Amino acid sequence: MKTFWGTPNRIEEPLLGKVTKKAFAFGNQKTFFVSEELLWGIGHGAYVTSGRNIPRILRGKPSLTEISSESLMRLHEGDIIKIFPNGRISIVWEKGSRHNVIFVTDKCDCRCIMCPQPPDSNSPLSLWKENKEILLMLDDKTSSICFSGGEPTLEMEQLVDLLALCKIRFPNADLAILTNGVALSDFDKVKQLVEQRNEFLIFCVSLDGDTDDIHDEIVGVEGAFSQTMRGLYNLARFRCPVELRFVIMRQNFERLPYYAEFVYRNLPFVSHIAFMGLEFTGEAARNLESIKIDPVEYADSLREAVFHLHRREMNVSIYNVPKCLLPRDVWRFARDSISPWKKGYLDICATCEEKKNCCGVFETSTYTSQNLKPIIKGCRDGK
Amino acid sequence: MLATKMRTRKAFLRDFTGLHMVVLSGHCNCRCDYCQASSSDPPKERSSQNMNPEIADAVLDMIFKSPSPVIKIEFQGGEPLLNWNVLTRIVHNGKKLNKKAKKRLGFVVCTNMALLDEDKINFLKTEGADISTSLDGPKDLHDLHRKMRDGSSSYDKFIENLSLARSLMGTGAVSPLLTITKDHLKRIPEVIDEYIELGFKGIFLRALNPYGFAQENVGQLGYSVEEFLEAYKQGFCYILKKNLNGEYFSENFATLLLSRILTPFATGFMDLQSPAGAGICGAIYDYDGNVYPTDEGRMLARMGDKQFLLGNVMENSFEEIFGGNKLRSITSKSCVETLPGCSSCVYQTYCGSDPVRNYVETKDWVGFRPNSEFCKKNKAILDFLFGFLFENDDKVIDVFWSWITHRSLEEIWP
Repeated sequence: MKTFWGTPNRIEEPLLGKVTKKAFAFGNQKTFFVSEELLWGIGHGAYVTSGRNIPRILRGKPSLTEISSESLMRLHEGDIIKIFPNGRISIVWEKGSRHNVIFVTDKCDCRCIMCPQPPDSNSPLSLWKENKEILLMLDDKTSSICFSGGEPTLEMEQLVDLLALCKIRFPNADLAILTNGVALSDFDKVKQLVEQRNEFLIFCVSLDGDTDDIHDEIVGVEGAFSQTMRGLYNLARFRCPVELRFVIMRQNFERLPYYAEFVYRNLPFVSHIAFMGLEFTGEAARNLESIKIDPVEYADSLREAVFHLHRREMNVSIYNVPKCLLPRDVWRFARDSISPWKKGYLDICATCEEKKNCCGVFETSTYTSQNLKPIIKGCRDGK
Repeated sequence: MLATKMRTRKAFLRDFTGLHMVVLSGHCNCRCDYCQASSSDPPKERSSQNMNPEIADAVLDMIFKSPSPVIKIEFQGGEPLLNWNVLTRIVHNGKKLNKKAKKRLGFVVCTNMALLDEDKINFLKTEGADISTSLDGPKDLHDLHRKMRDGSSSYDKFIENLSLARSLMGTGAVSPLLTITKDHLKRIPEVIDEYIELGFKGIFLRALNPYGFAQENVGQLGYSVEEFLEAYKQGFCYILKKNLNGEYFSENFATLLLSRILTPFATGFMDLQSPAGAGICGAIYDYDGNVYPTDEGRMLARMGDKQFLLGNVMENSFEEIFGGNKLRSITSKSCVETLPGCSSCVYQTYCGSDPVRNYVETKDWVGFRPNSEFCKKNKAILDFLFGFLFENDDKVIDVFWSWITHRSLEEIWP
């Protein structure tokens, strides 16, 4: 989540609002007026500016001043932001982006060794009310909404409620739930969710191995594999679209070709399989030494797995692995998957002819492959 | 997981009988040497072997009693176009009944196409019926055993009406079947070229079955399993080479077996299933209302042996015919998982049984594997295909997957 800082005035509690650059509002406390210089404004919930001064008539209102102009430029009309008493601004929803996420909860029932966002046990607050507010504030033309966490299915009541709201407000939007699938082993819960879905809901389920020992070791919970499998079959019973996500690391990369066959034999109903490179942050940064792997090392196994599935008419993608680390013939499966605010390139990428079609690297990662090379004339290193 | 896989593999059992073959006429305008249905001359008087409307209505009622959500009605003969009025009656009444039943209803006409004309084709097009026909190769080979009763060339008529049907219904509406006789064995590549030239996308290389005239003329038409296998392999390799050179054309028996080997799915092929598809996946209604579990059961009856007769639509209920002891027994005696010789066979998962064929070979539905030609043939072809899988040549495997998924190589690797 993008965050900036400013100088807070009269912000007593975190406030949620929609960015507008129009000075007039008619008493809608849900809009925040954002402007380089704050000269005047009427009717907004809060005021956000690069300047130092606040006109006298607005001094009684919550405001943030002295935000760098650069940061301010990144706030667009229609974005949803949250401002905090300590002067922080977070962009909660970026209008027009495909990478927006509704954080259903911080809680999680897995302890994945590569979790980029470890659960925060000190946040007992429910996000239910806020998430509902966000969904109500969103433009009704919003085309994609993703529910994540934590593990969103741990707050089943909230999730069902949010889905029901989406079904009414965004009947044609692409909805996704990112889940470890463990809680979906409960048929009745899946039924509850499915009854409230719009027809475009997809479940993106993490499955990081084709055997219980590998998957369970990675997610840190014994028995998780069999529960997730049960969850997947429950989704299949309701004909729910399912995407499988496999994060490639030291522990599981050798399983890639076997995983592909396992999926085809046991889960042929899934609509998409994503093989994902690691983001070395959070737990993944802490466990760097045990999970770290250079994509060059798994490129052949990954290629085999991708081809295996593609031949079988399964949709398959590679996320988060720069093209220069992949064999040329699997480039067509590599997607530009890293959210813009996390995405970066190295200096050497400047001369790469594939840069514009490449996912880049995670700026949040503490480890980056040593084998990145610009693609020149269709080859690494021009060779 | 194991249960799910088993269910997926045996999914063909879920819906019960979906394919309903209706013999509209025992007569035919052709007199092919290998006719397995022993068809007769077109009728001269009213006392004919054409299905009458009263029986047709009873057949249709019976068909709609099947619990299957997908119903395919296949018009057979003889030559079904000789009984055009009843054909249209069944199509119209079927659609009427389906307004209430709401099944996925489809029609296929198995015809030599000689009697097709623009009106008939337009009717089939409007009603969404497909055409299944016969093509035995280039002209001389086709005409050799496929004879019109009036002595004219069946090939010329076929070509003429093929283009007429395609121009009105689209290229995909007509699919042909090949019958391999002794005379074809050395000329399979020629036959394949003929299929490709006419724009067909695949061929089913299947051996002659020992029924009807084919049985009577076995000396003139027949061949040993070994001879067939040699021709099969030659044809298969010829087709494979075409594919490796970039031309999509499938061998459909291999495609069926490869699907069973390489995918988790069920494949619908009545003659090679476990339990056999006889009666429970498909059934055939003869022109006199007699019901048989397979076409071969009906052919056998025509040869005088009513062993497989399940009942008659005018006399028996759906429950008597499809729930009766005879069909139960045929089904329970056709599970390769329990059949002697099959239960311990390495190819069991890919194979199936054919109780009618077993009966013809041994006078017993269970059959006797050690000298079964059916078994010998299937094992040899599976051996042959596993040879390619063992070699695991990337290009060949790509071709196999292109057949299984009905995509050209270009679609897989643009």
